[in-house]
Amino acid sequence: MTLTLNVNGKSSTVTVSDGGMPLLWVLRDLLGLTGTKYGCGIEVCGACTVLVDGQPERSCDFDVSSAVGRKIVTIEGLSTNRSHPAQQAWIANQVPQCGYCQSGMLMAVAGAMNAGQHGANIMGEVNNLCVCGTYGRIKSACAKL
Amino acid sequence: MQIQTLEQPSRRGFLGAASGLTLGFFLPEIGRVSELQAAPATSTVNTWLSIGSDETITLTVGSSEMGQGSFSGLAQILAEDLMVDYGKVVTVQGGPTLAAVAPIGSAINTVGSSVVRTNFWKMRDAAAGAREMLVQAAMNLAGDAVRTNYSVSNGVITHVSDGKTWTYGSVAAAAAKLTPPAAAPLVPDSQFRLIGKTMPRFDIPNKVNGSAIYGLDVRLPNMVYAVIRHCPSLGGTLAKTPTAPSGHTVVPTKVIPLTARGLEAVGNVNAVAVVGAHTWDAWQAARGLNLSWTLPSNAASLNTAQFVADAQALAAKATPYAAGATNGPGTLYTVEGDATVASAAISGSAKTVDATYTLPYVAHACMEVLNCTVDYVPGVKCEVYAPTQSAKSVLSLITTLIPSLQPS
Ligand code: FES
Ligand code: FES
Repeated sequence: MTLTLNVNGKSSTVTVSDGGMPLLWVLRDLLGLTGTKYGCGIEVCGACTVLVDGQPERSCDFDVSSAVGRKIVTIEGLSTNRSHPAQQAWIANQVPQCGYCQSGMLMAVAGAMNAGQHGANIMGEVNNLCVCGTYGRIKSACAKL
Repeated sequence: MQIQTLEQPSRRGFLGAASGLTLGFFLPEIGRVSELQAAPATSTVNTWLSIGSDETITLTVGSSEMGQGSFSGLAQILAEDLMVDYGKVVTVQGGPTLAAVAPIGSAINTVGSSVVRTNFWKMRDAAAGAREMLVQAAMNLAGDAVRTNYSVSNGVITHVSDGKTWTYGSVAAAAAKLTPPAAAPLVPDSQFRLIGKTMPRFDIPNKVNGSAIYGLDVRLPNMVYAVIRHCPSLGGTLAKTPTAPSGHTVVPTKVIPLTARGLEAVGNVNAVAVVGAHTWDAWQAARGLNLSWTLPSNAASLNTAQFVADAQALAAKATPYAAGATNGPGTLYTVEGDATVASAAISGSAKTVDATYTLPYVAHACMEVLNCTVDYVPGVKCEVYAPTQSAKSVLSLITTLIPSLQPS
């Protein structure tokens, strides 16, 4: 089946054999948007987090068919120039280590901000994993958001 | 290519390059001081510094950056004694090939938090030596032999009284023809601009917008994706090659012969790779396979509870570690110190606490799942993209797997 998706403000057409294909693999393998990461595939780690109509969703378990007609934003579309306040805070606090979790982390933080959360409350909404253990810096980065 | 021994005992050598100045450094081998007098061999170079006529400063290192900040740290150390802006230094990882393992002689690995620790002084010595060669080149152009007439700041050499300036790039080619100084002075601690300071890491910006490319992100034209289904038990083998679902290729995967790494018998097929058009496609096909395995006779006891019980039984009767002994598998490692002292202290204590701690097998699990991308055209090329902290080991492994691969 051919589906039309709105990804990062652009309309993209993809052909999939199964509407149950997770959005993660559509983004990564069909659309080449590799900024969204695969960590576990079972909604545990959060590396695959994207925004769907402004809300964070784990794309590894989000059927592509459910994404039709909704606004999908990936890390590549969070801003064009690293200007999202969370990206700025991440740079200022030198948050990433290996960085593999950070696309998802930033999208989860952006989602919490969309939901009206600020400062320390943002972390209450984010349960993504960072194996490098950058939580201390994430906390500092979120403090002023 | 001519390498000169620069300074003892740091055993570093410099190499002239046509378009600018290129230096190679040599890692001193700790404990082999007697060999330091020998002329350094090219094969021991593991780090290159190039100063281009276009003012570029490139540091090519034989280690990997995994986000621990080594590349930025090395640039920081280098920039201090080279007297350039930190932001001017571009640090790159040497790309090894079978024909030219670059940087030569280097493992391109990162282990034991050693990159900055082992390179600190070499980096400083080399940077200071390069700086003095560049200053000497400017002095030669000016026909002046008095070093104190010159100052350096941000990669620009200035004649302090007449104000004439030379950029590093403009004298790099001339500097490459000079003999490296025996001992270039290092920047005194009191004048540090960079060492000991917290500097922004180079790798951060690309890690906040999804542009950093990880192993799993490599995309090549016409690539296909494979997923692996492993035998559910160590030591098991595939009983029968399954039929490929239509549109997919099923590849029985061979065990890589790794010595002393488990129960697998060399050559046994213990996994199946399924190749598809994209990850999900291959994944679905792999899940749908009806695989039959021949499990080892001890399969039922290969579980965490049994491992813990076995380990505890072993701990109760194992041979204690002995300095200088073979200390093979099953050795009991205890806290540092003499076991008799420890037992005397325990028996003399008013209160003793007895506790058993066990750790699960989770160490070194990384967020990025293990993966690699291979562009293999038999007889033409074999390029491997892998998230690894030891690129040269990957090369050796590949030659073991595909012995016909020859350096081109
Ligand atoms: S990959 Fe989606 S939560 Fe881990
Ligand atoms: S930065 Fe490495 S997993 Fe979070």
